[in-house]
Amino acid sequence: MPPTPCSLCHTARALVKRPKTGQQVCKDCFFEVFETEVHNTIVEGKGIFERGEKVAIGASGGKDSTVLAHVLSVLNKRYHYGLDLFLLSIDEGITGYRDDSLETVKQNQIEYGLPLKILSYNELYGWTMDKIVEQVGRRNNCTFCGVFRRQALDRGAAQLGVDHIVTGHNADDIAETVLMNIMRGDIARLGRCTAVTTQSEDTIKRSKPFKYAYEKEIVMYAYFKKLTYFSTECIYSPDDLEAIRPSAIVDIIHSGESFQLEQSVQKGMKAMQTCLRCGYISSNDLCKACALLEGLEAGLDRSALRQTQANSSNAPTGHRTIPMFERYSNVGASQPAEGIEKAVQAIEIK
Amino acid sequence: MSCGDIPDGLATEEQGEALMPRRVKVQRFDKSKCQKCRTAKSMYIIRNVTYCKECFSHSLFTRLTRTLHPAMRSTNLTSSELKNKSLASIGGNRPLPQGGSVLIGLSGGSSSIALLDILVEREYIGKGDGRVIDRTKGEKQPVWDRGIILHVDFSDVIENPISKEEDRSEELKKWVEGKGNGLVWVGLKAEDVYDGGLRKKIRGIVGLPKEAEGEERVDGDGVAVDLKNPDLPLFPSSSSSSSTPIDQLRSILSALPAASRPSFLSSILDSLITTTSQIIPDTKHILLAETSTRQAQRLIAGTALGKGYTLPLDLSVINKSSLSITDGSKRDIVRLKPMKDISFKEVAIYTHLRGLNGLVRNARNWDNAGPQGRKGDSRGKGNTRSLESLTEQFIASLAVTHPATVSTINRTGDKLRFTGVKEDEVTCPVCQLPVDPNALEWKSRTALTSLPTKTLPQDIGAVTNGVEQGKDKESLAKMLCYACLTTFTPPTVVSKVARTEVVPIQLPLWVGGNVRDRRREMREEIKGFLIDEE
Repeated sequence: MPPTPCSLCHTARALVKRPKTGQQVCKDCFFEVFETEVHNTIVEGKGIFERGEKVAIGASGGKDSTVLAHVLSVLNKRYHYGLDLFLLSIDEGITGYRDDSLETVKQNQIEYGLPLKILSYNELYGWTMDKIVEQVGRRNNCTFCGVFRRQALDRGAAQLGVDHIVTGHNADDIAETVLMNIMRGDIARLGRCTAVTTQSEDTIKRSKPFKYAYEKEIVMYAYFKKLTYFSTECIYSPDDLEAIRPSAIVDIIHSGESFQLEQSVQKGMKAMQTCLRCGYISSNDLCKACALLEGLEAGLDRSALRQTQANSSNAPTGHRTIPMFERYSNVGASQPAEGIEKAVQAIEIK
Repeated sequence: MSCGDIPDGLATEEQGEALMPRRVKVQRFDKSKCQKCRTAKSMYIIRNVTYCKECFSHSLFTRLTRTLHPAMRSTNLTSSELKNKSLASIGGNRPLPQGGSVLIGLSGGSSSIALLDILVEREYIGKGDGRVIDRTKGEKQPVWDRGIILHVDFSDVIENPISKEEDRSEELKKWVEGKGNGLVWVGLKAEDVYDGGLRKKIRGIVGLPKEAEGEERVDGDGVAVDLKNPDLPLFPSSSSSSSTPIDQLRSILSALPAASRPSFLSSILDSLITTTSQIIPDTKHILLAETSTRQAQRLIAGTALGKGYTLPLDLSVINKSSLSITDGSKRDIVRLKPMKDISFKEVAIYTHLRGLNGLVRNARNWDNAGPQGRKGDSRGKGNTRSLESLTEQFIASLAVTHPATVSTINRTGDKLRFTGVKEDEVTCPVCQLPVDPNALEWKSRTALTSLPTKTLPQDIGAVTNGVEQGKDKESLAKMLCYACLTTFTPPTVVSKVARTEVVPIQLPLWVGGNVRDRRREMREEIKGFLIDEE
């Protein structure tokens, strides 16, 4: 049997069957199709980037962020986005896992010539994940890690002075989030989890350029480009829905995009404010990270998860706190108009 | 001074904190007694409440009426608004008489059998003889004058690997007629969607004159489509009706990927329901017995099928749609799902209680539609072939392990809202629901199937505008909604160069009719600008 020609260029020999469409394509066409799809996501609508923007890539050393760093630097040159790219890594302090993956990030930094900033939980919160797990046990430790990481990324970005963080969330992740939010009844998140870019007034803009990129294609891209990435889990775990119909993942995202909430439901949502203790955006007086940290500092075990909102502005004496959050772009440019921020400045513990 | 009794003004903050929090009273029930009547022996535990047989039936009926009655009072409320209305505010224990006919879908599963049984028992459906009710004799005013029972049989296209799928029409018909309530039995078959005489047949069954008085849409010859080409080019009907309807249905099922067959069959079911209600002029409501379990499955599966845009319509208790009867004149038909708040477990208990379990067959087996065991058919967990049956299994297991999650899924579904304007919207020729904007464009942008710089010239833009390929052919792909487009898209995009033979496959007649209607509407719009050929 003669080799199958690529169904895109019809000249080269097809090497892969695209997980997304089932088309048989050659290596070069696969790269081009993959990159073009990411480019389409980026320029969709008004586009997620502005010219000359400083953009931090949330880099874990895993496949998604490694490929993201590569593709973004390629596209930045090819389509003249004019972006200033940075790598931003968070060191959770997990021995045997994060220290190895950070080595990969450092290697990527050299390969792509992008400046790298590493921010550790230890330096920000005074705790590493190793220590947290020691105190709270293995169950539920992801809550701490997740809450802390989200805030750490924003703080790292603020320190770098960037306006925008891009993360390597792929289509599989987003489809999973859509289904999870339906099952948890989390209407607020269901409404916004499919947006390419999310931004509220006070946080740094976040985007997911890989919104329509399949996990398997990302692995495939990394494999053929021979990119170095760190992987500890099985990368080919089967996905049930995808096994039946490959397009199921984008179909879920399409559904998620079309979902609209009832007006009354939207009105009932909580308004955002800033944390009285650290100045980070929060839906309560005390942000989740401060509340969790207070529990840890008080020496609580798993019960640290059940944080209270009492006594919000001042931390109990002797407890370490998170430094005040300041947006780089906020300094000088736009002073907070009135109210809560000034009050916070007055009671800030220096 | 007791702890909880500090005079006003004396309570300082410290004292306030020192108070013990009041203990919540925990009521303990005797689990062996029914918690409603407190006398009879309990038989069932539903959501931690024990019921005796009597109280169970009563509570089931109450919850049915909570959904059904407000829906008949007003059709403009959203489902969450309906929930907030008390029973009293919507007119007490019995809805106003509606007159006309009610069309009830009877699949033969527990929920539809239970629904019909309840409605007949509670005298909601009249005998269709226009008899005047004598209230002094304790007779109740029926809500609808006549009940029409629609059963669609799919047994001819299901290939059950173990034994031949049984045609249950006769068995169900016997049961329905045994009820002796003047119920009209309309038994259709899935392949009737290819039968030009379908309308005549239905008219015959319900006792209308065989020939419509020029007030009915004629489906005509229909069209064929090339299902191997992602553009889905349309062809005029190829086979001059030499093949039988069942052959035509089988050939389209085998041309569709296995994962798409269940959603195609559900479009067939929908269209048969719609057609029947169109023909019977006094149809007031269509009742479909979808349980909450089925609804949750519909929401998850619908999401995975890309139906997000129309899901809110699909899930709502009330779905009012204007059906065009002739050119111009429209009639409102309301679809109701009164079993929306009742779980599958509960209807199963009900059919058991009423001794109907011999009649009930719950498995739909749509997963086994079309030819089996073909090479290249993808299969998921538990040997499922479609997203529908995969989610069905998932929800069934969820209902056992996390019953609350199933209701959470439904509550999420209730909060979704349809954003389009239903009346003016262009509808999809297959599922007859509003089309989401730019389905084709969205699909081609997120999953590229051609590269402008590399792909050969004749393929360029074939997906987006179909200029070259099938130049004079209309493309069905451009008319479909996102979900139906996904259903019809071939699983593997075969290189167009390699294909030589085009095998158009006959589409069901209702699709052909809709496609022609669309053309005519477009022509109407540009009529003023067309130059006569003569």
